[in-house]
Amino acid sequence: MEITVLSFGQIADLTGPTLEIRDASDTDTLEALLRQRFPGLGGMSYVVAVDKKTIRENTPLHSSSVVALLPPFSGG
Amino acid sequence: MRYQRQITLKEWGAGAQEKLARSRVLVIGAGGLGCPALQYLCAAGVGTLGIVDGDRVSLPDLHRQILFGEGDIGAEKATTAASRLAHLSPSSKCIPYPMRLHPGNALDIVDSYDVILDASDNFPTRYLLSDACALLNKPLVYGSVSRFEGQVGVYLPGGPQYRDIFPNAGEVPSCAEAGVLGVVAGIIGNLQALEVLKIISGVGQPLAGRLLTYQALTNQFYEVEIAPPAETRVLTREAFQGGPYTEVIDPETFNGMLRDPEILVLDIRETGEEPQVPFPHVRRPLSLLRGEPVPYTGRRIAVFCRSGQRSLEAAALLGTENTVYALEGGILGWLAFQNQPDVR
Repeated sequence: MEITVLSFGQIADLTGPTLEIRDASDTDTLEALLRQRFPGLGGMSYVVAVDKKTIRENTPLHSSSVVALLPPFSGG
Repeated sequence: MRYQRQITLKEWGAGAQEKLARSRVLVIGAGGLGCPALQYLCAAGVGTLGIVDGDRVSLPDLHRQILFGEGDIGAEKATTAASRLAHLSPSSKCIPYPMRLHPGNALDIVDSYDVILDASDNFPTRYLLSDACALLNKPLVYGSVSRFEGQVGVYLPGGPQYRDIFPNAGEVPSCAEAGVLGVVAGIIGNLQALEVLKIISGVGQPLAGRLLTYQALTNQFYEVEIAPPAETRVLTREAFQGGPYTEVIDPETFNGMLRDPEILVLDIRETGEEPQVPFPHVRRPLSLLRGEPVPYTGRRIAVFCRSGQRSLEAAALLGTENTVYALEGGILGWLAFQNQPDVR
């Protein structure tokens, strides 16, 4: 299975705007894989959304899942 | 008649226009988001507009802060914006608050308005405002920008709040550091103005419980639904006023604090970081602060770093036990202020 990850803001500088990740059955696994591949991600603050809904805890993923990593912006 | 073209809209009509004329909207920050939002809210016929901003106009603001011109450089943003809006439409009453929002003034200012628009440019103000609105049951329209991207959301009483989306904003570059395209701030500020009009008029569905992001380079909107909070926070007026909020201070205020023996001046830069500073201070690197229990209690602490970003994280750590002030723009901003011949 292949999960689509969409990155926003400064996170896209690390990962690119989109990437495909194989074999992540839930969001905890996905985040661990991403942090391994992009160590800079560990120091960043962001909210995770799965299929356009933010999550608060580990959430199962399916092959069609789209995961978004949304950092806060401070600028005004 | 001034509002004829929108009254003609059958969904809008004279009823919505009348609601607008009676409404009071508070805009926090007369910057890249606040200027376009204020301009359209004023033109649309909002009865009273409050404008909170403690800053003064500077040249690098002008590409996005379209209520100001080169002749306004050095002038207070809040009062300058208010007089410009009075010229655009005398039907709107504009009340300037040329000051920063802080725990001591936030509730009083917010309480006399119907809808609040967050056009601020820093996390401490965003959290403070979100909590003040939650406490006073005021709808809050949030917007923020960075480079070519922006976010908009609406927090209604009882629904998910800013803290429910971003419980702890860490180190994120500001517009000054990361840059921003002026028109992107214009688009986001206008989306915020639109949400305010929808909330007041009851026309359409506000973006409540959702976060909308905009990427200008690809012209894409992406919207997510905010999961409801696991538990409802109970916030009291006392907790708010004594709460761990960081107050962001300008170099002038910081200079006043340097003369106050009660205040601990804390440099949270890492060992060996330049430039050195000419005033007495204690150095406690952020990397140490992150890993240790809060080293002070009940103190008033003025924190500074190089450019003003890391001090916000340090302030959040220290703020659980202390009253903390963070120097805006860091030591680089302070040095630039000191070197301005006309200000001192």
